[in-house]
Amino acid sequence: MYETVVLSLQHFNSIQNLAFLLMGTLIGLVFGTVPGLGGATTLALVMPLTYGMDTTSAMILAGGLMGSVAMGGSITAVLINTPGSAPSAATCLDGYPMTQQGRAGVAIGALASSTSLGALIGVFSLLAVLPVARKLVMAFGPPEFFLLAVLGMTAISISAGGKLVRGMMVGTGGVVLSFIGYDAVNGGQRFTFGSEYLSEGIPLVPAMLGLFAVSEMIDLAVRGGAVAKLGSKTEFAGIWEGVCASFKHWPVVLRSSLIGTIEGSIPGVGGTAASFLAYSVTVQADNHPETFGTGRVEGVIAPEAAINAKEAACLIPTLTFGIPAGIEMAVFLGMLILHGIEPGPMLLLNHSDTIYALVIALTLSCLIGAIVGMVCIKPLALITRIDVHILVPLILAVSAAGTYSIHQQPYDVLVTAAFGVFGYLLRRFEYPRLPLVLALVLGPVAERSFQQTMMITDGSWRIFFDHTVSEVLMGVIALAIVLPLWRGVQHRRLATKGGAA
Amino acid sequence: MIEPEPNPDAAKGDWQDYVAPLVALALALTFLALSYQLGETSRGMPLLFIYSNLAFVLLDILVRTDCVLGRVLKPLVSPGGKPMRIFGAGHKVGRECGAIAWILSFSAAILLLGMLIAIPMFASLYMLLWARFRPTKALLGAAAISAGIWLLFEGVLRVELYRGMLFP
Repeated sequence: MYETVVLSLQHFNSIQNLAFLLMGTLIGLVFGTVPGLGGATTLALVMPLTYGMDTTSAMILAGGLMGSVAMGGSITAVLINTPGSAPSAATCLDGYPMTQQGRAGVAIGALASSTSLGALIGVFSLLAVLPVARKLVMAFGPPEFFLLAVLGMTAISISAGGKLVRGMMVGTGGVVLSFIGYDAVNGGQRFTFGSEYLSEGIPLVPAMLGLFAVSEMIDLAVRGGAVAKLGSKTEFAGIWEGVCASFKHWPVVLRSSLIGTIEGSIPGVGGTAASFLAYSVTVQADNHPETFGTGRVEGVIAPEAAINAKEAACLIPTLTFGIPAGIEMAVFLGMLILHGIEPGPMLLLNHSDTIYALVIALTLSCLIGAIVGMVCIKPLALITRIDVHILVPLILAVSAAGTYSIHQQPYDVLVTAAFGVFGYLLRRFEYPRLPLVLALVLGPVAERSFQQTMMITDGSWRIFFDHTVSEVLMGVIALAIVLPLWRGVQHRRLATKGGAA
Repeated sequence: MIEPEPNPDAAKGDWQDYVAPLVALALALTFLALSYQLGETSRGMPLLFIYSNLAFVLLDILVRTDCVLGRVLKPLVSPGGKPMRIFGAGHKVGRECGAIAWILSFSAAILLLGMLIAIPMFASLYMLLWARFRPTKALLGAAAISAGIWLLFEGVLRVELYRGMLFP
């Protein structure tokens, strides 16, 4: 393997390939900032342009693009609460409050460094796992998928902070909303009110854009002024502090990167679940979970590390089985086939240098993207000083056009608007929004996997206790439920003691 | 038996505190009724979550009251849940309704007139009427936004923006 990696590195000696890497990174960064576009659309747009290129150069261009697109989306998530893609929505939760407090520099610095570290950990995990990837992916069947979704949902109780009952209310309601559409397991339509559009279910990206970007625009339109709150000063000098924060909080980076790697390697789970799960686990592991959502730097580090570790891990099932880990990987599979590469177990034997070149490009693009992001912080952070009444029509127009461009479906714009109003009402009446996001993402996965498990076992629950992976996951779920309750009791006990003293 | 302390956040009959959970209750009951129209196998999962949702909605209502059970449960299940106010407490309800109306009108305009008309129309009217910008600033701003969107999506990305129901 060492020889192959050295051989792959030699591809980067050529100026042409370095130019493709830089081009891919810049395209990813710029297009990543446009809400709704995301990696899949950008990759699809670039794919035809690679047709005449040699395969390795095309893979380097794609790697550059895939590695940086998430970074672009996260920059806008931090600065204007508008995630470029669904996974970046988790970065809004603490990144945007930091911007409002004038700490945009710290947030961008933390984002850049955690992105790079996450990508590096993801790539090393990928390199370590590739030889045994087949076994790892085969260890996950419907029962494990179901338990993974349940694990994600337990994050609802953690993410709700001191509003457990409100969080559970929004979460269970969100799961019901996720059932809208065609019932893939039993057949027939559910809650579609006769609408053909709704039979596809609630589209996730428009819903996310509504919940975060549009609801924020409603708030800004009411409030006026600028994004950075009056009296706060946008601090650019904090970039280095942010960069150091990722090293200071290395357990958060490591844990989140591993979550990203595991979730990324499982087809169908996706980056949104990875980023929110990493965020929730970080909240749970902290001694002061109630302070998250108010501008904690760990709240930026965790999702970013997970998102970028996931990018590399997504390649595991895509390359070794030809099973795309997500929509972006499905487009990437198309690109591989366009270049005459057949995905599957033989891929690493026949095209190992090309694949390792892709992995290296993915890593380098995260590093280049991070540097570009930090260099451009001054002009980027100026966005937060603009009069919001210029920002509101601009963001709404980009969100509408971005939403429409995904499926060329005008009703997606209505979904964005409806979720925008719903998201604003949730904020206004102090209901947490995060449980709704988790429910929309994980609800269908949980139902499908559970039904498949029941079909396999003829209704028996024994299968959950027969597999080691299932047992480990159940242990983690139990821990995720018990730990916050135990911590709550401890806090109350301490508070009572403090009050008595 | 020790009497639980009075709930300082209890709404004490203020109707505003109950609006959101009551709306949620109505929605949950609607979905419950719709679920029973589905086939037996299709409705299993939805029913499980709707009944759970109903239980949480009722619990949310309960902890907002000042009854003994509400006072006992509040610190356990909703210690950070503050009472909600629709009017007063610094909220500008008129402006909030106005901002929501702008969003909904923009979406309706996109659907009917298409993006090439709706975007400049919305941007200019918003800046003129809501932000109270000078007409030149509003028109220039709207033109810049519209041109930028057109250039990015139609020019660079080759995505034909929606032309509207009235101009197919």
